[in-house]
Amino acid sequence: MSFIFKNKQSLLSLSVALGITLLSGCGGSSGSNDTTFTPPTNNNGDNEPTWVQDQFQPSSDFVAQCETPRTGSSPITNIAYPDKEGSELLEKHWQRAFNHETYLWYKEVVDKDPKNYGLEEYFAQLKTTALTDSGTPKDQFHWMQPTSEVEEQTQLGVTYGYGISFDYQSSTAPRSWQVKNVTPDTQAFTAGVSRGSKLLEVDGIDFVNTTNQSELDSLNSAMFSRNEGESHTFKFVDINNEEYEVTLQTAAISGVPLQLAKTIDTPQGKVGYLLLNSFNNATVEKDLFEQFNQFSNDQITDLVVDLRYNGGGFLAISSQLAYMVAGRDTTRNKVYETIVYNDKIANQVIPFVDTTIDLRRLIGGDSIIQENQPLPTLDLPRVYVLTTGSSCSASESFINSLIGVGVEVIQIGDTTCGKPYGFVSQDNCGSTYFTVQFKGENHLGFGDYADGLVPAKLPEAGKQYQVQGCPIQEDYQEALGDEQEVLLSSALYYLANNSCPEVSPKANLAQASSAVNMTTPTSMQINVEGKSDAGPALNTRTPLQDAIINDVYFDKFHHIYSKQGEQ
Amino acid sequence: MVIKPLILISLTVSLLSACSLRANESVAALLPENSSAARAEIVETVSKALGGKKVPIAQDVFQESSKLLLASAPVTSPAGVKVISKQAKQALVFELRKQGDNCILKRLDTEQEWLLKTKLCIEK
Repeated sequence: MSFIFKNKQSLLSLSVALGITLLSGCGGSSGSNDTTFTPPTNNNGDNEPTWVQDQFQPSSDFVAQCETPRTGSSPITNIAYPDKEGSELLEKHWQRAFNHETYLWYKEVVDKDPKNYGLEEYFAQLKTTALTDSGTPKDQFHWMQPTSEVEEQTQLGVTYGYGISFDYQSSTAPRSWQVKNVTPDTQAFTAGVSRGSKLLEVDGIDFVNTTNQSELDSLNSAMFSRNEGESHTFKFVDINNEEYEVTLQTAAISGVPLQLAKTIDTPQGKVGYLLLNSFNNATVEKDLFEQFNQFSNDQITDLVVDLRYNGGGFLAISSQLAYMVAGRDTTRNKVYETIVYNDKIANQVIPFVDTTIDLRRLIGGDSIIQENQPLPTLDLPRVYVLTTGSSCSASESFINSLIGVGVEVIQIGDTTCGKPYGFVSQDNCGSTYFTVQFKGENHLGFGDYADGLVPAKLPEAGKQYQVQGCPIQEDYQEALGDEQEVLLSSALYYLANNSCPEVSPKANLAQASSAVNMTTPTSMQINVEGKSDAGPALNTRTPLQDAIINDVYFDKFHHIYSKQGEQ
Repeated sequence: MVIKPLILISLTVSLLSACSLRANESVAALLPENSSAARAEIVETVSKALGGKKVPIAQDVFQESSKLLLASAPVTSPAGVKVISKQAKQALVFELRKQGDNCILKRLDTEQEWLLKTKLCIEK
């Protein structure tokens, strides 16, 4: 592994270096046209740039020249704003240059004169119009928003809400929100909110059917409250068709990344199972280290990794997990993931991490585990992975990396969200810009799964995004981790029979919603029935909207949409 | 003969200075369980330190670690897709410290300190 990193701490250094390298690359702006071009000015003598098609100056020539410069310092970073007097046109020329330098598909952008567009309008069209195999836009992740909105901070792994995760099956009346999971040690958990329950009322308002705007506003306020201690009453109907009511207070909810882990005795041998909800937590490294030691002591012969609600997080942890599954021999001198940029920026290689790194200490916290301990390994030739459309980013990298080194991955569940892309967001003049800058590839050079990793009984030749497995919808009928739960039981069935089980009718209940989710836009609002454009109502999202795209830095944040996470 | 008392005096002075210095030094601290008022004050102080923005902070903050790690909250695209970091970076760190009877919240990157009303903190 030394060919990649001198030591494990380099992984964190790389995290920082990625951004620095990329941004340095932006300023340097290679390409013969770029470096030899002399900036033309217009005839007014006011130093406003003139557009010349397909000729680009470095973005550094335009950076921080703002129509409305900020003054003072950021309250978050305490760094003085670099802004100076400029113009909207200069900001648009910065957009153009920045995108040309860093955008993954910059060659597919049609170069247009910034003078003919507004600021947001111009940036919006600085992207590819190509489609994926399924006909959806290849680039769905290109936007800008005020930096003041995206600077908000959170304690790692903590969000406002009630600790209830919903499957947003229908966003128009009659609405259907079904409980997917309840975070342990929350009021909702203690009060008995159960998986599979459907939301009927909030504070006496008919959640399912109301089209009254003031009631929708009240629902919005209750469901996405950020006011700690605010009480709301929720009425549910559970899977046995029994109604119940709970009163919950909005709280800062600490996520539980490793929610369940156990060893299951089967006729085929001992099978390890773990429900891992996030890689975005500095303490999960210790949890996984201890759990894999336990699996090793238990001498498990197969493993089911349940990533159905895992939206991603730190690649270092995902890499450690992949290493613990595959072992030293399988991963030796092989790449976990290569971060592939456009042809102006050097690729970066992420190794399989084979020791503890004490991530929490590395990012500034107290030590949680002794670093440089060899990780326990299971050396498995095959692993079962449970997925849904909420399995994203580092979860997909986990699957793809193992496939890349020859581990047989059996994918049970639904297609993953399909986000092999990422970016380093960038502020200029008070706007933060998001433009796809890289994709992740496995050891075999595969990373084109924009439509998700698809479980397939018979994967088609040449379609590497199809993964051997069973396409099955989860149904919320059983508790997570229950051996009768449809995805886990299907994995155990496959393990015993080397084939997929017949899907029972109840398992198909959720199929319609999920099928729609995979083809409808990833954002919508609850509105008057059937009128998706009928003005603001209750913000919501489909399961696909749990998707988390690969991002180098999550510097940026939009509080309105953050309300759509775990409730 | 005169030297002995001088040594004693200087030793005493040194020890007293050391004690005095020690009393002024702050040390890493924790909060006990059931300190919701202290937590509320910390939530408010952190928010003020960050320009008044609300910051989700766990119910058990500072009960197991003297450091509070903050990161940028996940951003969501206009299409509703949430973005989370793939790569770790240095967190924005606040530390709870105890100085004498006082509890202090310290932002480590800027070394700014806030004296808290609560006296509940205990030396780590």
